[in-house]
This record gives sequence, C-alpha cells and structure tokens, in this order.
Amino acid sequence: MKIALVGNPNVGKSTVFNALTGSNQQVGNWAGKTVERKSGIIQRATQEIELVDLPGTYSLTAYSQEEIITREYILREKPDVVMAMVDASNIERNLYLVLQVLELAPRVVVGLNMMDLAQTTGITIRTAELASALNVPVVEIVAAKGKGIEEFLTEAIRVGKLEQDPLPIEVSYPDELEQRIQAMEALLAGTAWAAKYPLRWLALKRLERDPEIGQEWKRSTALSRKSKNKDSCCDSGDAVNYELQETTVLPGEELLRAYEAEGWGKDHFEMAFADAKYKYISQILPRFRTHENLTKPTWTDLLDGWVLSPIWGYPIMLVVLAIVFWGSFVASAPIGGAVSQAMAWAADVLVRLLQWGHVPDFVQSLVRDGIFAGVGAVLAFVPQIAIFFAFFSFMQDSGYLARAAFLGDRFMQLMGLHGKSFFSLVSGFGCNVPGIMATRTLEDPKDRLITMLINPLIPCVPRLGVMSAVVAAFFPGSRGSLVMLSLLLISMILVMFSALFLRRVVKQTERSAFVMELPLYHIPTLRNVLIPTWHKTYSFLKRAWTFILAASIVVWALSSYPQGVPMSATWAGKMGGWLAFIGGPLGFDWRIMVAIVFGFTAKETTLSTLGILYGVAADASQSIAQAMTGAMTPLRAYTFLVVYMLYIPCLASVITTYKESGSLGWTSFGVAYNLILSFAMGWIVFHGGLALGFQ
Amino acid sequence: MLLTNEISSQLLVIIDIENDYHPKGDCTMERFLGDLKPGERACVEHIKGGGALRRRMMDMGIVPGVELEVVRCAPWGGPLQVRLKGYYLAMRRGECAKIIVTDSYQEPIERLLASC
Repeated sequence: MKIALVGNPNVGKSTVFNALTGSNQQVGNWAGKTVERKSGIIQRATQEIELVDLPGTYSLTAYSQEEIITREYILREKPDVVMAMVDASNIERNLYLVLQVLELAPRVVVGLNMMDLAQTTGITIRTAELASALNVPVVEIVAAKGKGIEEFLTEAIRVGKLEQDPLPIEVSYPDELEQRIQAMEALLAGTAWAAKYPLRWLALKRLERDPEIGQEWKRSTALSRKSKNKDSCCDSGDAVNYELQETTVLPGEELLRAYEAEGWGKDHFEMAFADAKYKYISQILPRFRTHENLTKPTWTDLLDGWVLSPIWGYPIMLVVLAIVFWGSFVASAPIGGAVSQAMAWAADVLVRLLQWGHVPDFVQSLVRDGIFAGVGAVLAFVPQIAIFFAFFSFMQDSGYLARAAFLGDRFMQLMGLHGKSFFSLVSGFGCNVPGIMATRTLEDPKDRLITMLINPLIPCVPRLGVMSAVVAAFFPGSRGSLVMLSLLLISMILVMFSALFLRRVVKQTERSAFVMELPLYHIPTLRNVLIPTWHKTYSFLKRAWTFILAASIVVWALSSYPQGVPMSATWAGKMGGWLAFIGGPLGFDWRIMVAIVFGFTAKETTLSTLGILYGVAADASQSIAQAMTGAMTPLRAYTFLVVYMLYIPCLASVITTYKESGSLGWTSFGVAYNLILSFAMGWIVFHGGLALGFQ
Repeated sequence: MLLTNEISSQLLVIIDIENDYHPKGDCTMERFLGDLKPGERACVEHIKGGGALRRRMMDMGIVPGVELEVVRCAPWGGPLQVRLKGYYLAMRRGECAKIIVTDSYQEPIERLLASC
C-alpha cells in the first residue's frame, strides 16, 4: 500500500513521519530536483506500507518545486490514500490545500494537529463537524506528544482499503464560473483521461491550461526501493525517474479560445478558482470553528515582542548565534581533539602491524602520513558540523529561523537575496559545509544556487584561525586587529558584489517573493532534531570520504616523491615551480603556490604545510608564522591572506555544493569563479600596495 | 427639502459611477498595506500586478476580502509582520505596496459621505 503525507510547511508532517518510520527512513532527492525526498516502509498487521513524506506546500499549482513534486507524486504514483495534515490554529489556509488535494485524490484522511496550540489563541475546532463538512474522516493529533498518530495511520489504512472511492464534497463556484466548468466537463467526459481522474479536476486544470494533464508518464527504473536494505537509512541518491510515454492533446482548445476572447484567460480562471475556494471555506468555517478573541497574548506574541523588537531583536540574535558558534566550534573542540588522537593512535597501531609484517616503508608512510593524516583531519571536524546541524534543526523546527530571516532580510535585500539566506551566510563563518547545506530552507532554486556559490567567500573558522596567526606574526599589536578587520571587510564587499553579479549569471529576472510564514513557536521533539542531524552528517560523510581519501593520498604522494631530495625537488615542489607563473604577479613564490594547492583539501593543514615548506618542524602555529616573517614582506603576507581567505574553502565544501545543487556545471563554475576572484583580488592588492609605497 | 431615502440612494449611485466604485478611505488616493501603522487593521481589496508574487500571496491566504492586522515593522525599511486569520506572515515593504486595502467593517457609502 502506498500512502502519501501532505500538508503546509510547519504543520508537523515531519514529526508524524519520524514517529511512524523512526530511523527506518530513506532520504534522498527527488529525481532531477534539489528537494529532499523522504520515504519509509512500515509494517502493520501483515500490511506493508510505503509512506512518502511529500514536501510541505501551500498549494497544488505547478509553480514551485515543492508543488510540482507533490502533484506529480499523487498523479503518477497514485497512492492508495493521502494523509493530509492540518494545523488547527491556521485552518483556513490549510483547508485551501486540502480542497485541492480532494479534487485530485478522493481518498483522504485529515489529521488535525496542534489543537492544544490553537486553544491558546482562543480557537476551538469541532472535529465531528469538520469531518461532516468535508466528508472525510478527521483524526485529532498532538504530534509533538505522539498522541493520535497511530489512530491517524489506522484510519488511513481503512480508507485505503475501501471498495469504492468516497464521494468528494463539491466546492460551490459562482454561476458564471460553474457554467464554464460544466461546459469543459462535457467536452472531456468521453476521453480516456476522464476514466482515470476526477472529471471536475480535469476540467479545472484544462481551463487553467495546465501543462501536466494529458501527459502519461511511466517509471523508467524499477527501484531498489523494493530491496530489503533496511540499514541503508540514508542517501538512496536520486529516486524514481519517469519517462514521458505519450501526450494526448485533450479537447477543449476552441472553448478555451472562446473564453479568452471574453476576457477569461487562464490567469483569470486561476484567480477565480482560488477565490472561490477561499470563499467556500469561509462559508463552511462557522460550522466547526469558534474563535474567541483572547485578551491574553500567546507565548508566540510574548516572545516575538523581544525577539523581533527593533531594539532587542538584533542583540538577541547575536547572542543566539554566539551560543550556536560556541557550542559547535569551541565546546566541541575536545571531541574533535579526541577524534584526532584516536586516528593518530589507530595509525600507529596499524603502522606497527605493518612493520611487524615487513611491509615496505613507503606503505607505512602512505598509511600514516597520507591516509590517516588526511582523513583524520576531516573526521576531526565532523563533531563540529554534527553539533551545528543539531542547533540548526532545533532553530528551524522551533520557528526561530523564520525570525532570523525576518531580521536579516533588510541586509539580504541589498544583495538581492532572500532573508532566509541570512542564516546560511552567517553559518559560513563557522564552517562553509553547514552553511551551504542550510540553503535548503530557501524555496526558490535560483536563490539557493546564488547563496551556495557565494558562501565559500565567507571565511570559516579554520581559515580565520590561520589568518589570525599570520596576522599576529606580521602585524603585531593593535595594527593586527585593523588588518584583520580590513580582510573581513574585503570578504563582505566581495560577497555583496558576487551576489549581485551572480543574479545576472543565474538569470534571475523575477525576484522571488519574500512572503514568508512566521510559525507559532514550539519546542521541537528530540526526534525531530536528532534524526535530521544524523541524516545530514551521515550523507555528508558518505559522499565526502572517497574524495577526501583520494585527495589525501595524492597530496602525500606529491610531497613524498622523489624520495631523499629537498622539498623544492619533489613533485610537489616542481608543481609549485610550474605554478609560479601564476603566483609571480602576486609576489608568491613556489612554496606559497604549493601551500595554496594543498590547502584545497583542507585549510587546517595549511600552516603545517607551510612549516614543512619553510623547513620549520615546529608544531605551534605561532612559530611557523614567525618563520614566515623571515621569508616574506608584510605586503606579500597580506596578499597571501587575501587569496587564502577567498579561494575555495575546502574539498568538502565543493562536494557539498555539488550535492546540494545537483549540477556539476554550476559547481565547476563556482570553483572557477572563486579561484579567479581570489587571484584577481590578490593581484589588485599586491600591485595596489606597491603603488602605495608598501614593499 | 428633505432628502428621502429614494433620492439619496440615487445620488449615491451617481457618486459611485463617477468614482468607478473603488472603495477608498480618501476619494483621491488608494491605501496600501504598507501605509498602515502597527496595530491598524484593514481588509484586502485588490492585489496589484500579477505573476509569481500574486500567486504566492493567494496561496498564503491573502485574497480579496480577508482582514489583515499589521503587527510590527522591521527597522530600517525591513519587512512587515502581518496577522491574518490567526497566523502570521512576513512581507517586504515592496510587496506590501502592491496590496490595496480598505478599512474594515465600513460600508463604502458611509465612507463616501464622510470624506468628500
């Protein structure tokens, strides 16, 4: 049996889905889209059920990815029953979606969630009346407490097994609209499509000139969904692919043109239908809803009084960000350190085993200095991003993230971005990987792409660490803070410039709507925080480890061969020499070029790489930086910092960009853009500095 | 001469036609959502323009006839927070500038008589 879960965003769908499927979920992407696909298999009394969590959406038109996916799934996969989640405190808008679902899929069960929250705003819903008004079963749920979820499923299974489709209620349209609908229905009544889909829905879509109707799609790959692979909880990659089998042109073209001549074009029909549905909802509303205007403000009102106040809102946001950053990147340092030590210990053990087995030296070196060092460096920062994801899930689920978008929108507007990009960009200061993944909250794909591409320009904690060490060595005292600030300012300006520039490149002509819901605050369930955190961390690791392993081995090979020669004569050194023609105009010698290339895999290792290159065996970043002062002038150091700050953060971020954008082309463009921009800035800074009289 | 109901309703019809029946608070200007201050309420009358923005607004519940209340404005020209039907939406000023509103619960006739 196939069951689909639909509903508005923030209505608690994920809570129900997580509760029913537990860790038994498969998370991937919808084919050809960058929207997350979640499905799970549940067993109930010999009945195997595939439950699919469709993306949260407000409507079923065909204008956003989420809507397209939801509608396509219902049309093409024909689930046995649709579980529609509805928010009691928001019921009119939720019913707008439910009415559209009812037009398309007659077997629906409504889950009425958040009744407790609705009570606090003075809203009471009479469930039995609602059920009779819509002619569908309605189950009360309090998803956050796990109440009613099982009953919801049971009712859905019952409806799915009914012999006949229940009779849907008919939205009453105004006469002039009703006439035209019936005229279209008459034309479509005999077609093959009318046998498969509700006639009224078909007529409505035809009047709107919907492109999807008339198209027959078949699945092109039978998927591993049927496999018993319960352990692969995540990242099934791209799911079902469809092939267009045939397109029948449905009748009605002349009628449509006649209507257009009267001024009833498809846009007009769209608006008229939406309007009629809302009017219908307000007509039936009093049958099941009572609203008392409470004088007592809700929790949400009280909190928002602080969180969104012009005076306190921004300080509060700074505090929240500080807590998130501290928790993710400072407090987690011991865990990261422990991982590093564990890796080093494991490497030692393995090396001793190899020695005992008389395995040649180079293999031992490969294992210890290549594999374990490289992979270990990345594994050590996994605790950081896992904790960060946990904070992020908490903030998203609780409703705070929408407030941050509200406060940050003004600044984002300056860059042509959506308020929701704010959090993604700010996260980049901690680490670009979660920053790029945080772009998921953006609905418009072009907004998401632009934010992803500019995220690497924001210096992350590892980069900031190296930068402060080098700055402290070359510009001691208070000059150092000025220099640091100037670097950050350059980064900010470039972020703004890139955002505006990329809008042209991505061809975003129509600005996406900001209109955004501010959901009522609520405390997320532990499951809702931990399950997404686990999925995100796991899927990141799974994709990244092969690349990082390969890169670590390459770095090791380049710097270890040929053996026994000074650094400048190794392959790495020679490569640095070849690349010196790029670095020359910026005052970079071969060592800096090598450090830049190797820094591609992970920025944390840059300093130790430089240490090796300059012949300093010390471990402390300070002494390495000191050693550099002997080898280059402050201007060259500053140029190096500018380039270092701006060019690609790390391999992990490139992989994440590829995964989130789904496009190799755009990822490569992003990398090229980063490189060119950083070197161009470096050149400007270097020659500008020379021109100003620095050395 | 006393204005009987009959005659006054005829007069109003004439005024209506001249003003093209656009209920306005002020006979000459339209009121936009962005003009409202925090705490003020109004009814949506019409959404100017079209395309993705209007569709989005309609999907989110902003349809002619719905009552909105402005809750607050973000500083420095940032978005507005609006309450409707028991939930909250945030919209940019530019977007609010496309929503034409009327005062709630006032008959157009009363207003025409009151302001002109």
